[in-house]
Amino acid sequence: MENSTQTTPTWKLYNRPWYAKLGMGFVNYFKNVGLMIWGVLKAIPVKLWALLLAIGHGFQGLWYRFKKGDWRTRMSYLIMGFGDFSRSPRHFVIGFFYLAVEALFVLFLIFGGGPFLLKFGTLGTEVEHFGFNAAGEYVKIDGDNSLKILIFSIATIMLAIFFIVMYISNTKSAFKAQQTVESGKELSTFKQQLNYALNDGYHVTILALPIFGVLLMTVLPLICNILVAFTNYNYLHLPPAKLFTWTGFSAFKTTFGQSYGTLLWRTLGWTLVWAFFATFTNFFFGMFLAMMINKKSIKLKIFWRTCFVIVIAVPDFVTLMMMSQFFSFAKNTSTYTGAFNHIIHEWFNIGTENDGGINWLGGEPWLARTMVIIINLWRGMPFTMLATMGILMNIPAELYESSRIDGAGPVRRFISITFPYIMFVMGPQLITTFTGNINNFNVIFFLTGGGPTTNINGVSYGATNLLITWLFSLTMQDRTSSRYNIGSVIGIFTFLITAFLALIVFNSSKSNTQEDTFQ
Amino acid sequence: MKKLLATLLASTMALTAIGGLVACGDGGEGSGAEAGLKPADFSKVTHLDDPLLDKEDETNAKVAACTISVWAPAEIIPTFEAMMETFKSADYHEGKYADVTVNFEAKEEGKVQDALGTDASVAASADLFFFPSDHTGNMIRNNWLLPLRGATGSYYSAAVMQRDDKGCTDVVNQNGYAYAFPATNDNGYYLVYNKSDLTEDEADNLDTILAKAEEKEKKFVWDYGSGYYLPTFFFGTGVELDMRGPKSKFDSFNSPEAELGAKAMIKYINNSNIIKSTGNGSSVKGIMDGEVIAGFCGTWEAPTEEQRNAGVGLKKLPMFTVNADNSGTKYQMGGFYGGKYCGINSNTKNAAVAMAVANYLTNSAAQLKRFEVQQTGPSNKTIAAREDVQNNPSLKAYLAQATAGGVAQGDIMGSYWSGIQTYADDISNGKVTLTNLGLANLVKAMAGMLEAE
Amino acid sequence: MIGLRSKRIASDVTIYIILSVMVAIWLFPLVWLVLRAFGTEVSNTSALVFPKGYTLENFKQLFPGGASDYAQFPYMTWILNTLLIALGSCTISTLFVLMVSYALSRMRFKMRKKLMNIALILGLFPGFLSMITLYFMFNLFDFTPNNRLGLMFAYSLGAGTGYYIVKGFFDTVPLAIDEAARIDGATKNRIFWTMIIPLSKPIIIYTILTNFIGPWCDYIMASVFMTKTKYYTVAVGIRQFIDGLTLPGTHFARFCAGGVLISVPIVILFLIMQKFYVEGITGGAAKG
Repeated sequence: MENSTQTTPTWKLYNRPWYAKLGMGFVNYFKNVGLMIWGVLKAIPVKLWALLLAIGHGFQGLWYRFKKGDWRTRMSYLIMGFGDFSRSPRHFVIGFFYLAVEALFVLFLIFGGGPFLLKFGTLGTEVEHFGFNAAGEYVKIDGDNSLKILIFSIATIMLAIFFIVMYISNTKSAFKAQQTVESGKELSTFKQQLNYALNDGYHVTILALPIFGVLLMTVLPLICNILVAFTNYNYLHLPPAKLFTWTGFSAFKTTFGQSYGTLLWRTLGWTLVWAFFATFTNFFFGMFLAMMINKKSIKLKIFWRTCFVIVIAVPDFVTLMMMSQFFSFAKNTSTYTGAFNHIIHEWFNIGTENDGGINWLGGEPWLARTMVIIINLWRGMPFTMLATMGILMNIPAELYESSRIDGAGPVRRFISITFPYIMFVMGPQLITTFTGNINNFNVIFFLTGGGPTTNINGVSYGATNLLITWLFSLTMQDRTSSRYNIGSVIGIFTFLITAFLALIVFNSSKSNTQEDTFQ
Repeated sequence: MKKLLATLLASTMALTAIGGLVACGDGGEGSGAEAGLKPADFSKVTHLDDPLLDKEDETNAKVAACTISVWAPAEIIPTFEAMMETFKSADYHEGKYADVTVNFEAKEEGKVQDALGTDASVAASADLFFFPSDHTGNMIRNNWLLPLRGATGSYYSAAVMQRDDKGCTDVVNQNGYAYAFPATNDNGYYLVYNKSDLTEDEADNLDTILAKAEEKEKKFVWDYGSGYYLPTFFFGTGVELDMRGPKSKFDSFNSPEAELGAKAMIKYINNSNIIKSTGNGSSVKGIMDGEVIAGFCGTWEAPTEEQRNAGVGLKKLPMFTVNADNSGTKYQMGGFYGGKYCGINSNTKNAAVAMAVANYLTNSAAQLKRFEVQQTGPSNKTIAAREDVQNNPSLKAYLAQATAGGVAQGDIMGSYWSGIQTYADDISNGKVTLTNLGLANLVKAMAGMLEAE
Repeated sequence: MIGLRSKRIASDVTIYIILSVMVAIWLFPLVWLVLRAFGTEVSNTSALVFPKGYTLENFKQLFPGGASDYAQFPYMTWILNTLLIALGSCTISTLFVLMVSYALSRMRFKMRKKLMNIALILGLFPGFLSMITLYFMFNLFDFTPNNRLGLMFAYSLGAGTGYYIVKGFFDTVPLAIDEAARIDGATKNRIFWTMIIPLSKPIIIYTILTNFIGPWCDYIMASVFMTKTKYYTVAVGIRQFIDGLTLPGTHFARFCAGGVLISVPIVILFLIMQKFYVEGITGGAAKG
């Protein structure tokens, strides 16, 4: 999507009234976002089709090479690497590498993943129980562990995909060696192969480990987690004592059904409201703060900046836990209520001697929500201030010069130069921040823990819960009443929202689409 | 001594009877290796604290070196560590356990089941852990506890059944075998009050206490932020909590009795003289500081002798009324009571040694020691019968409350706690009122939406 | 002229007043935290901004032998755990990020665009959704529970998706440098280690610092992976001080002292890092 031209600064148009330009800026921005969403949606079926085609081509090539191959090449369809190591000592290393891959995979299939994969359909049948051992002692006798079966099966499938890729690459390598020999050329030496790995093929060398790490740490758990949504993995089916099994879409039905459904939409609503305010309060206040500090005649710039930066430099678990203590509250008593209530009582005479003051974080839902946004402003604004100060220094001075010659005042300069420029740089950043705030776990977790709670249709609803903290309380807060399957459904739901926004950012990010132009 | 003998005799007889019954019911399962150790053999057990002495093939041969890890509450660890010195010495079973290393780690009893929920392996938790009675159901359902049966375990089962209070063993008794060693019997709460503000009779009526509080500008402490103290009015008006039953038993929270209880909750939560405390010991501290007139007090935060001399009185919880004008029937405030248990992790590699350690930490000598050090209430019948235990003010008040309005705390599902807590929040926020009691929702929340899945 | 000048002075004074008020508000909670740490009151309920008396007792209790319940709150052990985990994970993360960034910035290959897309989506996936799964995966290899190596790997192995800022920096290093080196016969491997990395010092420092601070500040992952007190990281440990174990706020002053102690080095690191932070956010975009 090459829509980035439309977000180009409009400072040349400063003869129009400022509100028109501000409005236009917003209209353009959201129009672009809309276009991008459409672009992403349009791309999905195309990409899927392309993927299928690519897989088809892969297998087509497999057959083609088998047809054209000599006996050595054909042998490598059974014994991987045969076409390489049998043809020349020069290809020993690469050939035996393929052979090792095959041997290790087969071994893993027999002794590691295979037995688990066989139970993938049921997720286990043997229930853990107690019984007598040979010595007459009463001991626990292990059964199947549904979660381990799930994890190992997925790992096995992923390894199998890797194996298929290696398998195809093995036939390619064998066929290429055959062609080289047939055309009378020399096969590459080991040194040449090594040189390839450090030069043209260097990306494979250098990406192998990090990609392995990501597959292991992110992709594998992600797939397992998505699959948990189709099971009945909850506190009544907690492995290893109990088995859980596939239950189709019943967890989805529960989540979107009457009781949880009401909560889900409410929580989603608040999550979006929160993300909006958390993002834009920080953005606007941070921007104005930066402009104040950045004003030419203001002295001690570094001092002012450092004062604010210190707030974000302190680790957030310290500041947030401290804030929750600072604003704590105990009803009807002054002895146990937090410091802030004491301070406002003493300084501003709010609240009576013994009523404990105001329940800032656990009373009225709207108050708790406002407080969370305000504390987040306290904690997050210096980030925007820092970034904006950086941008302000980058604005070319001649822009201001020419506008001054045309007689533009400070307000007009802000509307037509500064603001568009900041939006130009920070625009994509804003959506990233927005998605970040949707998943802003720490602020809610440490400040309110999701509360204040109320009972809706028999389910406890936390007024400041984001989707992510709600998910946490469903799965990990109290593990003896946990519901991993519903948590997973909510996780998928959250992931879809954030991933979607992420795609938009990625497509709109200028440095991505134009990265090659300035090198 | 007479008393001890009588207790022994009586309990031995009772156990023989139970053992006989169980033997019939359990016939199908206990075949094979355990055949020679039918529960009927329980009658053989005579040595309360060393059950293994009755085991015919038991020797005092030194056990191989191993490490047993124990999760116990922080405050008792020094006592336990000192006890382990004797356990390993030559005086006990001729030094049989000299090479055993016992590592203690501080863990609140109430947090044990949460940790086990993630990973119950010994590496993540411990070989032995102390836990409260209300978590038993969960512990057993998830196979976290090693039942005390089999060649070694059944001797400990027999000993436990014989030496500990029946109310305590019932909670962990499954088919005549114990699932854990009872360690204490004092997990409950009662009333503490300022003797200079209230007479003993006045402290027997919540409305009187609150009127006095208004007059003296003091507060009454009731932690209505915790499901542990919250059902006091429900229990008072006669709501029954069947811990062993299926989830539908929470239906009793939507009944005429429950309506009365809910109305009382609304009345008292909205009373400005009642405060919600957080943290241990706030009632006693408040009384000492002159800010609190009376309040709930848990056995673990009992006033010290010094505090009692300074005017802190102990008593069962007071009576309350449902009507706003304090007229009508008077009900007794109810409360949970229960004990703490020491369980063997079913994943332990050294079950026999772990049982020996658990036994040593919960036998009569250990319970006496804990009573002396911390005034912990014993579950052991012999120790409970001692005069100094009977005269302990805290345990006296605890027992008085347990008799007057106690509800034994057995298996309670996790959803109960959050359900009733949210209900109290809703009263605080004005969402639940006299005209809108919302008890159907309460029951649903307590049952934890099971019907949905 | 005078009118204009006085107008400017008036606007400056207004800004100074606004800034001062804001600084006061922004720093007040932190000042309160520091004062509590040095104060003699132990609870969080004191109305006094300035403590009645000053003491170092709260800090003393963070060190072995400083408090009778030190075994329950072994603060220095927590710091040591965190330090070890952070150092290890920072090394792996930084290496991975540099490697990925170099490949994506300097090499052109078939899967490049797709990898970048996938990495971006995965990077936004909040890690703890799959924490339980991860826990059991690691459990199969004995990396959980209570294994510092396991937690270190959990923090760092997936770091490759966080290449974005470093790649942006590498993009600004002129390709001519590479080409000259190629002509001299250097392999891409050599170019990466001996030319690009030394040229990218600021962004490498930034990467190291962010990857070091990450594990210091994580709470959730550490709280799941570490079940025993002596293996806690400082974020998990310090929460024990205010976790309602005891009288309200009994350990609050110790929490503050611990918070101050842990914050000082992080604040210093952050102040060093802030200019790289600004470049990270604005650099690539502005230059593009």
